[in-house]
Amino acid sequence: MTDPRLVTLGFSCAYIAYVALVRDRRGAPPARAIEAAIPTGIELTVAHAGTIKTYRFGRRILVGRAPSADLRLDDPRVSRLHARIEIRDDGVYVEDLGSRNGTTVDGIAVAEPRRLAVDDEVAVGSAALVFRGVGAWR
Amino acid sequence: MTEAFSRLRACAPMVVALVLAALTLRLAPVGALLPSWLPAVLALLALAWPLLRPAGVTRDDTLPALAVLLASIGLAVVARLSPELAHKQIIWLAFSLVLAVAAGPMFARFRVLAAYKYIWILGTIVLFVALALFGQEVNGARLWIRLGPVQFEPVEVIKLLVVLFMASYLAETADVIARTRPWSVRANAKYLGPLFLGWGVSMGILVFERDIGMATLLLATFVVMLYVATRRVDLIAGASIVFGFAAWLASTHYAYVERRIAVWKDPFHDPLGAGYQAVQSLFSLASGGLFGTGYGHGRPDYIPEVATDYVYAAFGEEWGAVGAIALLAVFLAVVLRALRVAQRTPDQYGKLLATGLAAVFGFQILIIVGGVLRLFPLTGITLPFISYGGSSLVTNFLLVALVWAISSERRVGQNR
Repeated sequence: MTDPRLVTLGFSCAYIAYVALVRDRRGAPPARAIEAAIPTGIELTVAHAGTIKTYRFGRRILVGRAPSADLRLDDPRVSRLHARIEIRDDGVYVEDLGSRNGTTVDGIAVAEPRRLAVDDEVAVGSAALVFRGVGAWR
Repeated sequence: MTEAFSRLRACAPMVVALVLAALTLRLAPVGALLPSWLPAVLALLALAWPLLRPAGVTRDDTLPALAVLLASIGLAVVARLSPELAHKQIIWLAFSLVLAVAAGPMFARFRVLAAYKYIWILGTIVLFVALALFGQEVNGARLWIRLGPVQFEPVEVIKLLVVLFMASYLAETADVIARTRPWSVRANAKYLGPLFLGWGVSMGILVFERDIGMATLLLATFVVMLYVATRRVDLIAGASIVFGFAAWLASTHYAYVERRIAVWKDPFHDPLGAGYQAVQSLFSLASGGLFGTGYGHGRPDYIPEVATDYVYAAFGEEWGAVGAIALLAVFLAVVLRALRVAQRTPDQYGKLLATGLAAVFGFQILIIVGGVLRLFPLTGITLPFISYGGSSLVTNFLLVALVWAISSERRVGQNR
């Protein structure tokens, strides 16, 4: 029998060679196969502090009083991070983030994430957010 | 490319791994791997693993191959250390392979796991309660539950459950946590609260059970997942301070931890008493040198607990520094591949889950190998796939099967 050290050395080199040579040969990950227009954003009409304006947001909106919120509402009844409106696989959902005064959709309190229909009115503090629909824009 | 051809190609890494595994296991002493037909059955089972994937998707097929390679190296090492343990280990290996092969297609729907986040943490607590009630004390730590003929180590399962919980919680709330200001105590408590509660309970019990290695592992995984999900450096700083404080507290209040640190600082202070294990493992590594003594030609049996905690020293003696580095390269490949899976998967939950599993696997290797090499104090956890231990083998195979499922990608040109 040869020197046992040669055997283990050979195996070690084989392991390293195996690890180094066997690569993931799959190319770039495939794009999501969706032929229809991909909704990239949510349109909301915001009625707050005497003004009514329509905004186009991204796929996910954080509503709150914090400066880092996507939709900032300067209102003491609104929590810092109050609610979240986002596009999911099967529609647009509103979710309350444990706010102090709660979130309602057409007068009904949002306990579980709730799917929005077009023209539903989400009330956050004294502000009213009307969901206008989704669209593809940048 | 036809489905059949792509399936054949998916087997290629596994075939190479099986050839290497067969060559390694041929070195094992005669009679250690009884019954002799079992390795062949296991090889067929391993070959079926990458074949049994859902149609129309590609997966990272090297991951299962690396797991099988590591498990066979581990089996060879355990067979050399103790044939009786090898008999048990090969049964456990068969069980884990069956489980991984069965779970492979099942995990294709792994995203439903996100819905049960509080079940995972509840499961953790139930396991801990079971451990406290029915646990068996081995070497001063209560870590095993005996179920008929098998001994089962719940902490190995708990590490998977904690990652599952954190991935699903963070996938929902990471954007909110990321935008919370560090000094806003109420908001941080609100969004991080459930996370800290769930993870803190398991952490507290681990410290209570005196399993410091597993506690460190969970803390490191927690910090990595939190940072990856939210990019908040202040949380890392906070966790480091908590860890430093806990380490200081443990080192001054637990005699057991104090002893470990003393041994780490100077194992030669008491070479025949407390430092015996550490000194023997250092001698083992030293006598191995660059190329090792050769499989079966070393004397690692001088080290107590060599098949579990100190298996890396035994491996380093017989396979030398080259072999030890080769082993680390295989481990590194698993971690890097899991991170690559995390990069490529489109959804937040899959990303976080793959990152968490990579972190838990990588840190476990870091903690035990670093402990054996005396980079930091040794804390007894298993070296994944290599150490003797049934529950460790089963959970690590499940971990790889889960990452393998996350790596699923629909093949280009197959819109079904």
